[in-house]
Amino acid sequence: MGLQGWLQFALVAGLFVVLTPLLGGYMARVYADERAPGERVFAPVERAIYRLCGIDPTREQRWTTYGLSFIAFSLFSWVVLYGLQRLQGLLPLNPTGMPAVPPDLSFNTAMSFVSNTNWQNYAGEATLSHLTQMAGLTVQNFASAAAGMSVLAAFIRGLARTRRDTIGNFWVDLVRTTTRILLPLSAAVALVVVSQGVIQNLDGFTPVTTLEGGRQTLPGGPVASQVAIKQLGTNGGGFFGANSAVPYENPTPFANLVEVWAIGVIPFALTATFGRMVGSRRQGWVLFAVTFVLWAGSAVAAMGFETQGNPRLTALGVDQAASAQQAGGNMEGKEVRFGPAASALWAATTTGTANGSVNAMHDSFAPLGGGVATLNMLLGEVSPGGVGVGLMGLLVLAILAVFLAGLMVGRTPEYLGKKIEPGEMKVVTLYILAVPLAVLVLTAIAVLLPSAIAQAANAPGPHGLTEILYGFASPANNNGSAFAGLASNTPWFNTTQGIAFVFGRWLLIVPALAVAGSLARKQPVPASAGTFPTDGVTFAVLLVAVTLILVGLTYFPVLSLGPIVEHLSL
Amino acid sequence: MADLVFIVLAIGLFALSELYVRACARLTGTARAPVDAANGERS
Repeated sequence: MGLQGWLQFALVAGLFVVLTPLLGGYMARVYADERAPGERVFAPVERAIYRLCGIDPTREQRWTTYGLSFIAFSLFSWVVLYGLQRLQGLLPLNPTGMPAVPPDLSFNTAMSFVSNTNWQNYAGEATLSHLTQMAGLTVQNFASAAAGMSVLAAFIRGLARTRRDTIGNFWVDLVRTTTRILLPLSAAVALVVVSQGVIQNLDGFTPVTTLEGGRQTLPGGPVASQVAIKQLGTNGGGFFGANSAVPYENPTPFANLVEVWAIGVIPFALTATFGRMVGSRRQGWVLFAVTFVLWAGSAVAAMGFETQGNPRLTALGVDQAASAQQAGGNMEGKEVRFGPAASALWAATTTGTANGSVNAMHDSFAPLGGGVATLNMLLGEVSPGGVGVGLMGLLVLAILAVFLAGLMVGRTPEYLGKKIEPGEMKVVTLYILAVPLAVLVLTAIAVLLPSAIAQAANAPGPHGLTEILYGFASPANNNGSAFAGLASNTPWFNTTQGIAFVFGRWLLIVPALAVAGSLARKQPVPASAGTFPTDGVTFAVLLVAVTLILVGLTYFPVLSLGPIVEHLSL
Repeated sequence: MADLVFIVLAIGLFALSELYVRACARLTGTARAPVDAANGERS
């Protein structure tokens, strides 16, 4: 990897490190209901929303009520988004005359966006009206991200509180996350990307004559407002089918840099929010270190694989070295204005954060480059994962890590002074098993169905297996990025992926909230000589090891048959 | 008809999530008996 690649990596990494305590501290104030900058602006707006919706902001909820509120909000969101797609042909703001979206695709898309996955079995510019994009998808980008961050806030309260039966109010958390965090940040990022050339209008298709005299049709639409939140909210769904590879979504290297930063800034900063809320910033930095090591390791690895070029082309004497005339490396499926290093940095960041937007086609990555993207998702989206739910997943793994450490030394495990007992471990087990069950079972069924195999461009073969595996790993981990080799807009894939979204969202959040509700009731025990410290390097190493080994044991066989064997056959 | 199938499927999946809440509450022993109802509200 050349100097340019290292500089890009260092700049993005540096921004994450510097901004984590600043943004994290602000978010901790938001969730602790403390006065924060902008109080005079936000408080009246929030009071009006509470009055309009009949919310009593002073009333807290037990975890069961919190969880049911979250599920009810998701169901309501799904119904609205499904209805918008099915009725868009009859509704306004449809300058391109898009007809109703088919039922199976509407089901998949609604479940995808409500679960913060944003897997897309369609090209937006050829399928959706502006109304569906704005009132449906963009609204869900805010709502699903805010819901995920709310759940994390509740989870942290569960760890931090003592002998309490409540973990916050879902509706208050949802509103405050949207008004105080997501809306201001999105407005700022939208203005920056507009300055770079991202479009923001309500136009339909505009026919133009090219310099050579040819005819071309240019799409329009409210793109910048959707791009900003799709990155900040780790949603990832593109306005256009080719996502952030399209110049109208991501026109310049600077816009690319801003968007990569926007993908990771909130998930990383939430580690500092955690530290502030549990009263130990050191605990937050330990989790930051774990997520940062996992992200940085995957980014450097992917950048290395993609800048090396294809060995088969090297054998044919093709010049793949970087020079003034070419970016060098593996340029298949990549944009010339970004090159392989920036494309791989984006790929590692988007798959490590459950974002899912792409600025290059992952199907064209080197086998191990695509393998890194797949592995990032299979890790359970904890490096640093989606907004809120990523850190929540890492905290569940932290509980598992202290449990394993407790087994080694023969003591009752504790985390933040709370004893981890059989009740919590049972639901942690449910959490750990849910996603592998969905990914592996659905992949196994797909490779047995000739109709499903026919949708993979490179099946049968190891690359075809990776395409199908990715087609379930991404939805089940709520990532949403596509490998690009799987034509999954079929009733079978639309339906099964729709079920996979449920496993990766609601069947993870519910047990996590149960752990939070259980721990909130407990009296902390004082630290003793037998307490395993969770604010040091040893715990960070153990947590990284648990994350990697857990994934290794679960997915190693299928990864061996996919990207690993493909790499060995090069 | 296809709309009905997918709407019923979606409602069924969310209903499954609701059942999951009850199952997890039972597993963690948090289904009933608040620890201290008096401090369950914000002051």
